[in-house]
Amino acid sequence: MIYLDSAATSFIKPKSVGIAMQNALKTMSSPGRGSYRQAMYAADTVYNCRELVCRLFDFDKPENVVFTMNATHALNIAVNSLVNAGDSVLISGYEHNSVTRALNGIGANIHVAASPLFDESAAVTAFEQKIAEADVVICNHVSNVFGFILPIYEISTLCEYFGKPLIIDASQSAGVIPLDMKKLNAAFIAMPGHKGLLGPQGTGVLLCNHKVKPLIFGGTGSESILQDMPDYLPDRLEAGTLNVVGIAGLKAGLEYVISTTPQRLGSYESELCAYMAKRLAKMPGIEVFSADNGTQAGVLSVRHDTIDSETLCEKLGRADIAARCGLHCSPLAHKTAGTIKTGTLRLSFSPFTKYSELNETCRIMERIIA
Amino acid sequence: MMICGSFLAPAFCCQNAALPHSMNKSGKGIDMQYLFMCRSLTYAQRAQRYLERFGISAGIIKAPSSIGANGCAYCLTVSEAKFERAAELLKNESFVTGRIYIRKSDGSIEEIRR
Repeated sequence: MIYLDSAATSFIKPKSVGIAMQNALKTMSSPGRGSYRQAMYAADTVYNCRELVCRLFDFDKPENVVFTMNATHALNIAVNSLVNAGDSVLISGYEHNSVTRALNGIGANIHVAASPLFDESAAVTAFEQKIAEADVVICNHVSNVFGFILPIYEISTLCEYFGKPLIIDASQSAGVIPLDMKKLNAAFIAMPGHKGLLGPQGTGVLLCNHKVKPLIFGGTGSESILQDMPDYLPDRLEAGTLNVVGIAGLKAGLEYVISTTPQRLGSYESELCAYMAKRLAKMPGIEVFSADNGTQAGVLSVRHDTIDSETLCEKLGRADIAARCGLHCSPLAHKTAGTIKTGTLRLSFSPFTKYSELNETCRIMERIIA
Repeated sequence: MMICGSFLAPAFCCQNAALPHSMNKSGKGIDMQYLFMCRSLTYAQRAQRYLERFGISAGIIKAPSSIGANGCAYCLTVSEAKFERAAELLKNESFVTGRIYIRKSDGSIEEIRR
C-alpha cells in the first residue's frame, strides 16, 4: 500500500506511538479520579504531554494546553469563546468547514480575505484591507487542499496592530512548520493530534491565550460541589474522561517530532511535494497546483481536464494507493482557487513517504490517464 | 521548562507519579507532612515540577475532604525537612492557593498561618 493521504490522517506512525498506547491500556486509568498509582501514571503522562506541546510551540503555560477530540473540536471551542451572533469575522480564503460551519452555526458575519494561491503578499494585503471592520480574525496556516503556507506571522502582526484576536488553524502545519506561540501572540491555536504530530485519531490540542467559554459541561475531578465549570484551565474545557490512551500515543508522536524537528520533517515533505508536482505536470491533461517560491507544504492538488478526481482516486485506490478526491471539506478554498466545480485529487505526504512510492504512483497515474 | 525524562524513555519516568501516597515506607503509619492546597491536579503537577527543579521532591494526593472546600481538590505533599524551602519557592506562584496545612502522624490536619 502507498499512503498519500497524510493531510487527512498520518496513517504511518513511529512505532513508539503504538507501544505507548498499549502501555497506557495496561497501566493507566484516568487522571483526577484518585491518587492511586494507575490514576497518577495517567496524570503524569497527560501532564508530560502538555509540557511537550509547550516545548514544541514555545509556550510556557502547560495548564493552558487543552486536549480535545480533534482540531474541529478545538476550533469550535475557540470560535465559541470569541465569537457571538452578529460579530464580524475575517477569515482567509482557504478555511476548512470546521471554521466556516462553526461560524455559520453561531450566526457570525463572515468576511473573506480572498487571495490567489501561493502569493503571500496578496494574502497580507487581503487581510489588511478588511481587518479594521473585523471583531475576530481566523486564519488557516496551511491550506488542507493546496498546501499553501499562509504568511501567519505577518497576519498576526496585523492583528496585533489593529487589536484583533486571532485564531490559528494549525491543522496542516503543527509538527511540520515551526510555530511560536509567544511570537504569534494568538488568542488560540488549534490542531489535531493525528496529522503532523503523528498521534492517533481522537486527539487534538487547543493552545489558549484568551478567556474561554466551555463547549461541553460535566465532571472534571475538581471542585465537584460547584455546578459551574471550574474557572481555570485545563479543567474548564476538559469535561469528562480524557482520552488517556490517545494522549499517551500523542506524547510519543510529539517526542518523535521534537527529536526530528518540524523543520526537517516539513522540508522533507515539501521536497516530496515538489518532486511529485514536477513529475505529474509532465503528464498530458494534468493541471498541477504547485509553487516554486517556498510557499507549499507537503500537500498537492491536481486535476485532469477530462477525468474527474473521483475516478482518478478510485483507480488509484484499486492499485492500493491511498489519496483523496473532491472538495476536502473546504469548499471555500476551492472557490478561492477556482476549482469548486471540479474539486481536485489530493496527494499528501508524510515523513515516512518514500521517493520509490512516488515513482510507483506516477507509473500508475500514467496508466490511468493513458 | 522541565521535561521529565528523555524523549525515548518509558512513559512513567516521573518518580513522583509512582509515589502518590502519604503512607510511610513500612505502610503502617503516616509521616508528618505539609500540604499545599492547589486549585487542580494540573496546577499541583506544575507546582511539583517547579519544586523538582530546585531538588525538592513532592507528592500529589487528593485533598482530604476536611480541607477541600468545594470537593475534589489536590494537594502537594512535602516533607518536614523540605517544607521551609518549598514554602518560600511557592510563595508567589499561582499554582497553589496559598493555604498550607500540616498533617500530623496521627492523621490530624491543621491549617498553618504564615
